[in-house]
Order: sequence, then structure tokens, then C-alpha cells
Amino acid sequence: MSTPDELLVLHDLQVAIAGRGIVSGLDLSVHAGRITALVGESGSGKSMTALATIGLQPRGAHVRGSAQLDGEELVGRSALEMRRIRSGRIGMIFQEPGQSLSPVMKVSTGFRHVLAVREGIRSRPRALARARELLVSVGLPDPDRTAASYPHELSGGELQRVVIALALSGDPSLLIADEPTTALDVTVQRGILDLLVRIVRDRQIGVLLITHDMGVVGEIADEVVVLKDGEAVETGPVRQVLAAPVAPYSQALLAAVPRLAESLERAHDVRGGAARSVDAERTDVAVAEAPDAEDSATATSEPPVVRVEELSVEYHRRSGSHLALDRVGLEIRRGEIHGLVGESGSGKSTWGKALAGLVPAQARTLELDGVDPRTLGATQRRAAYAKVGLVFQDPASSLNPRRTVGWSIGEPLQLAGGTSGTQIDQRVRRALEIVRLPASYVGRLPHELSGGQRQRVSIARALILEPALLIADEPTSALDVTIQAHVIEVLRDAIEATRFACVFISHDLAVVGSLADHVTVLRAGRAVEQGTAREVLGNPQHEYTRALLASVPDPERRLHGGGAAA
Amino acid sequence: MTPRDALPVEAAASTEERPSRAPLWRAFLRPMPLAAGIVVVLSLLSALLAPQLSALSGNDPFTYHPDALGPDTSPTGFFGGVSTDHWFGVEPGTGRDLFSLVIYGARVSLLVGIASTVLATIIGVVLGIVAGAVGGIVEKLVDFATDVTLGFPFLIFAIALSALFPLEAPRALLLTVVIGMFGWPGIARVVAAETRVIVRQPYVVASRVMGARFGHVFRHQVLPNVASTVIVFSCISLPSRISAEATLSFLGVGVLPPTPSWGRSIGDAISWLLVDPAFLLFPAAALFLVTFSFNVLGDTLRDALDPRGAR
Repeated sequence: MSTPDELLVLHDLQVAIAGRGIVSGLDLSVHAGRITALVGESGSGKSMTALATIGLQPRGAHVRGSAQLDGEELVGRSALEMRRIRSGRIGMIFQEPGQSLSPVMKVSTGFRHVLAVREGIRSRPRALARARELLVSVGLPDPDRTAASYPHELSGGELQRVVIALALSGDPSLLIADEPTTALDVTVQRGILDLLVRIVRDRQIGVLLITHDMGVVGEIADEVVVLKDGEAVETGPVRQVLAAPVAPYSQALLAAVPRLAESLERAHDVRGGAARSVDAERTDVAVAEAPDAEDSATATSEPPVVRVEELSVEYHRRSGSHLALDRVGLEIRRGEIHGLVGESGSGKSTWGKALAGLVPAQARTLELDGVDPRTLGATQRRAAYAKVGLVFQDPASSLNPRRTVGWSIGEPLQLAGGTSGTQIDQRVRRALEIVRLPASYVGRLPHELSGGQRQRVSIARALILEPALLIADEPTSALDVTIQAHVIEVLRDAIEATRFACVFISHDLAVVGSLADHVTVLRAGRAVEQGTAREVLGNPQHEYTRALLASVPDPERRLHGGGAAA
Repeated sequence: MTPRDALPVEAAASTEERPSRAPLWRAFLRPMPLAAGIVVVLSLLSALLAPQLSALSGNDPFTYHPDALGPDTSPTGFFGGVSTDHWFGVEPGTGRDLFSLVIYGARVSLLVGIASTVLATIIGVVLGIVAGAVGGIVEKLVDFATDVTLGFPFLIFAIALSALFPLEAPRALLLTVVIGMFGWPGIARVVAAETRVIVRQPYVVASRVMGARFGHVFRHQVLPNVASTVIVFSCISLPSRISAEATLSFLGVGVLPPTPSWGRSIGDAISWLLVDPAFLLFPAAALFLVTFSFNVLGDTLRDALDPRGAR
């Protein structure tokens, strides 16, 4: 039943753990020289499929059905045979490059171990030469330096290239990439995706790409299988699935992907109705210090909630000091959302922490609701910062695991004091209503909630004191796209309802575009571009902003452009 | 922007059953933990009801029975004088009832063991959390105190101290304090390490931004989250403190005669080992069974509370 160019064929693959079906009857094929994407949200069974295919399913998992590599059955093989097949014919790339390599080994040592198994190379010089060759083939400019480095001395993108080079050793015919770019910045992701495409074209190997990101699928995949709760809901060529998805779930997944174009349209519409003007506010860093005429008109009636000028944060380490933020500034009014965008290490989280008083900062002006917290005594400063709400990235650690949801949401009231138990109860219920969670959730513990629900509880906790400023540090980047859409909706509605100012920190330009009124683009602690969302994202002036924008994966880029696909 | 109705409604999870967790006590139903639990319960009962239990055999640990002894003051009869009158035989030299001695010995062992563990745990938890949460100079001081205590020759100090102490003073209290004061460094280290991780968690940071003081963080954020570690750690360290009491009594600096103690009985038995091995067997078996059982229970508790041990 397998045609000659079908490299990997899964037929009715089933995986069950303790009698519960994780994957139920999956059909899928990977062709040589093509990329097949397996798309689904967390818990859909996509990683389990990959692991079961290569015999690495967790202990206690039962795999049935058929998985054929080059016509050779893989299911039911002994561990020894599977090891031989994996070592010679399959390469695997994992999500977290920092955890894919042993931290105590130099890259070259890692290569030596892998090459001894996969290519039978025993001699040191030959292994080094081969490692060099592989490192060059994945586009690392200085293979000797890379080979002589420890993993912590390399960046995430470099590490992922090393992992890919390791996976390519032994000339595998199949490459399994499990979320290879999820942990990377967009510009780095772009490079890795390009590399994968090049490898596939040059070496004619087949790739099984596992991802949750329809954008990545649209960028590089040839075939798509959409997985939901262990079942394939849609299978087909990428053009067909992305242009005209049939299954409602595929449609929902696609619709939930934030798109820049849509964000900008929305920005247009909102501006038309809102009491704010955006005409020609396109400026650079200086905007905070020199708001233009129209803005100052509103400014007189409503003073900004946050005003920061020349904010610098310096981290002191044993090896010297590091300037995390270099004279940046912003100004946010009630009901406004200011997006901070940048890659990891750009200082965007530090900015949020500085506003919350969590890191020592120098600034010419630093005003929260018209007062400078630096001039206040300890008690008053505590009260001033209590007007700042925080929402963090990781839903798993944002809530105290040993306290109920109701307790966590009510904690700010308890800390502020002066509120009776029944009043706290009432306000907790109201806060839950704002984030659209049922009131019955007050008695639950965080581990009984999903990631998106926990994040909404975090928002409720941040909102209960009716804060002047909400700092949301990557609140959606650990969530699935459909859930991310929910949380953003909730956040937007809450801002409309209670009119607080919001700093929204994200690496995802599309998310920021869909939410923020003003945007600051950060790079290495400096604000390279600042202005309204429409101006910055619609008409970027700085080349870095343009590079960032160009790197955002778009499911439809190739559909419009008629690129290399199909 | 998004057709919300078309999305897989995430709130649907609310109608589902709350995810249930296997109850804790189930872990204790397997044979080993069950047996260990029975031993621990029996030892606790014998400590509480020592007079009643020894009365069952018609004896008490203080009456001499010279009639049970031979001319060389070793017990007459089979295996150290085991009989219907004296279930475990009698003590050589005095003829005291060994069953009553072992039963009463549980009192001192468990009292000192548990009390010193509670003391060590309280000191360790407070110092550990303070060190981990406050950091800086406080942390350095606690670390230093920990190192000093760990490096201190416990046995020599304990022997010297009990020589200094007047004989009228309550020996059990002295033993509790000495063992407790030397037992806190381990738990302080573990708690400090966990606290250091917890105070960096976003929920604690959020709490601090919202104006939480140290007391609030201590009580609501850190304490509940280190509680399971503390319980497990103290359960596992309990046997070593029971042994410490036995060691001190063995060396003759523990509880004073005629108060029965396993450690002292074992010490006395050494000189009678060749003549009357039964005298060593019963107190030693009691000590071993109780410490081993506490160890098993501690391990079971740790495995049951560890989320990674689920499968």
C-alpha cells in the first residue's frame, strides 16, 4: 500500500496509556523531500505520536496499528532493533535546545559520542572533521568555535542548529522535529525554518514536523494533518487545508492565529471611534518627552497614569555591570494599552519589573498616578505599588499551588486590609465574572484548572484592587493559540470595563498589534521605535522593526505569494 | 477578531468532574507500609499503656525476682527464662521482668524521639524559611550556624553536658533538648533551598508587589508549600533520633536507672551476651523494629506526596 516515495507511513496508529486512548487511529505519511506537519494543541497527542513511531513511548503505553519506515514495520519491534533503526535512519530535533545537549560536555564531545554510534567513527580527528562538516552544513559560520564551546556559551539559535547537525549525522532518511522553533525568538525561528527547508531540498529527506503554530505550518509544510484529541480531523496538502479548511476545528485553529494585517485593520477601526487621535504621531524615542498637540489636548483633561522618562536599569554582576535598559521612556493614559515588543534579552521584562518596583531603576521622571514612588516612605510606597497589578507568563507558577483560587484572587484585598470576609467573597465573585469564569471556581486549587483558566485567574487577581496599571508580562505566550485568543478577549474587555492603563509585554508582534494602542520596539535595552501601533507596525521606520515584522510566521504568506509550496 | 463560538470552548472543563487524586491513605495499604504502620501503632500504644500492658503479664519493671535467677545470677530456664510468668524472660543480675522493661522502654524512646524531632523541625523550619526568604546577611549567618552545628562533635558534647547536669534534673527533657538542638541543620538546609525557589515564583513576587510583608509571605506562601517536605523529612529523621537516645543511654549518659530504656538494656546485655543472648535480643529487636517501621512510613509518605512518583 505504500508508494515508492512514501518514507514513513502510519496506518491506524493507536497509543493508549492505562486503557485511555491518547492517539486513536491516526493515518499519516511522510514523503522523501517533503515536510509533513502534525498540528494540534497541547494534549492532542502529537508528541506521543512521534515518540510511539520511533519506539520511545513512555513505559506503560500500548502502541497498536502500523508504522512503516521504507516499507519496514516499526510497531512491535524489539528495543534492540528499534535502537538500530533510530541510530541509522531517523534524526530527532526537540523543542528546548538548551536541554537537548549535555551541559557538562563540549559540543565536540557530544558529536564524538553520537558519531561513534551513528557513523561508526572512532578516531578523534575524523570525528572532529565530520562534526565540522555537519556544523557548516547547518549554517554555523564558525564551526571550530562552536565545536569547542559548552552549550551555555551558545545562543538558543546556535544550539538548535547544533541539535539539527547532530540529528543529521548518519544521513538519516527521516527527521522528526518536535516543535523545533517554539522556544526561539521570531527572527531566529525564521533562520531555523529556512534551514529546515534547505535541508529537505538538498538531502531529499522527509520531515515530520510537530507544531502547534499554524504560522510555521504555512511557512514550510507541504502536507498537513490536524490532530485533535488523538484523532486526525483533517488531512491534506498545505494549500488546501490553509486556504479552505473543512473541519471546524481547523477553521478555529486558523482563526485564532493573530495576524498582523487584521490587527492593523482593527487598530484603524478602533481609532475611528475612540476619543484618541493618532494622526502623525509617528516619532521615535522622543515621543514620551514630546507628546504632540492632539495628545496633549487629552492629556490636560486626563493626566497619564504612568510617566517615565530616561529610565535606566543596570545589573551589577561580578564580571561587571550590564545595562539592561538604556534611557527609555513611556507615558500611558487610562484605558490605554502600551505594547513592549522585543526578543529575549531586549529588556522588556526588566522594564515591567522596574515599573512594579521590583528592580532598582534610575529615571529622570518616574510617576505612578502622579506620584514618584521613590520619594515616598516605605509604607506609602507599598500602597503606591499596590495600585499595580501583575500577570506573568507561566500559568503554572503564577498561583500558589496550595491555596484555592478564591484565596489567591482575594489576596490583594486581604493585604490591603479593611475589607470584611464577606465583602472579599463578593468581590472575588465579581472578579471571576469579569474574566468569565464560573463563581463555583473559588474553591478550586490551581492544578484543577487549565493553563488558560489559570491565566484568567491571574488577571482577576490583578484586577480586584482596581489597579491604575496592569503589567502583563507575556501573559499568553505559554498558551495554545485558541486559548490565547480567549485570554486576549478577556483582557481587552476588562480594560474596556474598568479603564486601567496596561503595559503588555510580548515577543509576538501580531499579539501586540491586536491589542495595543501604542508600541515600543526594544532591542538590547534601547527603544528603537515608539509610536502608535498602527504607525509602528503598519509603517515601520527602523530596519529592526522591519526585520521583526518580516519574521512573523504567516499561514497565508505562501498562499498569496504562490511560493515554493505544493 | 476571532469567532469565539467556533473555538473549542475551554470553559467546558468546568462541567467536568474535578480531577480526583488518589487518596493519600491508599499508599499505606500495601503490605510493607501496613506492617510498619501496625508496628508503630503498637509501639505507641505500649508507650501510652505501659502499666496496663505489663500488668497483663502480672509484672512491673521495678520488682526484683531473685527466684527466677540461678546461683550465678543468670536467669534459670529456657532462653533467658522465658515462661508464662515472664514472657520475654528476666533481666540477669536483678531478675526484673524483661517484657515490662521493653514495654516501658518504648516510653522514653518515643517520647525523646518525637519531642526532639518536633523541636528540631520547628527550629529548622523557622531558620530555613528566614534564611531562604530574607537572604543576604541573615542567610550567611544561618549557613554559618548550620556548618558549625554539623561540624560539632555531637556525642562528646552530649556526654560532657550530661556529666555537668545535676542528677535530679529531668533526664528526658535534657536528652530532648540536646538531640533537638543538634538535629535542626539538615531540615534547615532543605527548607532554605526550597524557600529560595518558592520566593522567586511569580505568585510570591505578585504578592510582594501587592504589598505583602514577610509575615504574610511566610505564613501563606512559603509554609504551605514546604509543608509536605517538612513532614516527610521529619518522619525520615525520627528513627535516627530514637537511635540517638538509645546511643546515649547505651553509653550510660541517657536516662538514669531504674527508668527502663532500650539503649541501656542493650548496653547491659553486652556483658551477658554469651550467657544470656535473649537479654540482648528483645530490646534490640524492639529498637530495630520501631526505627525501621518509622523509616518505611517516612519513605511511603515521601513517595505518596511526590507528584512525580505517581507512575
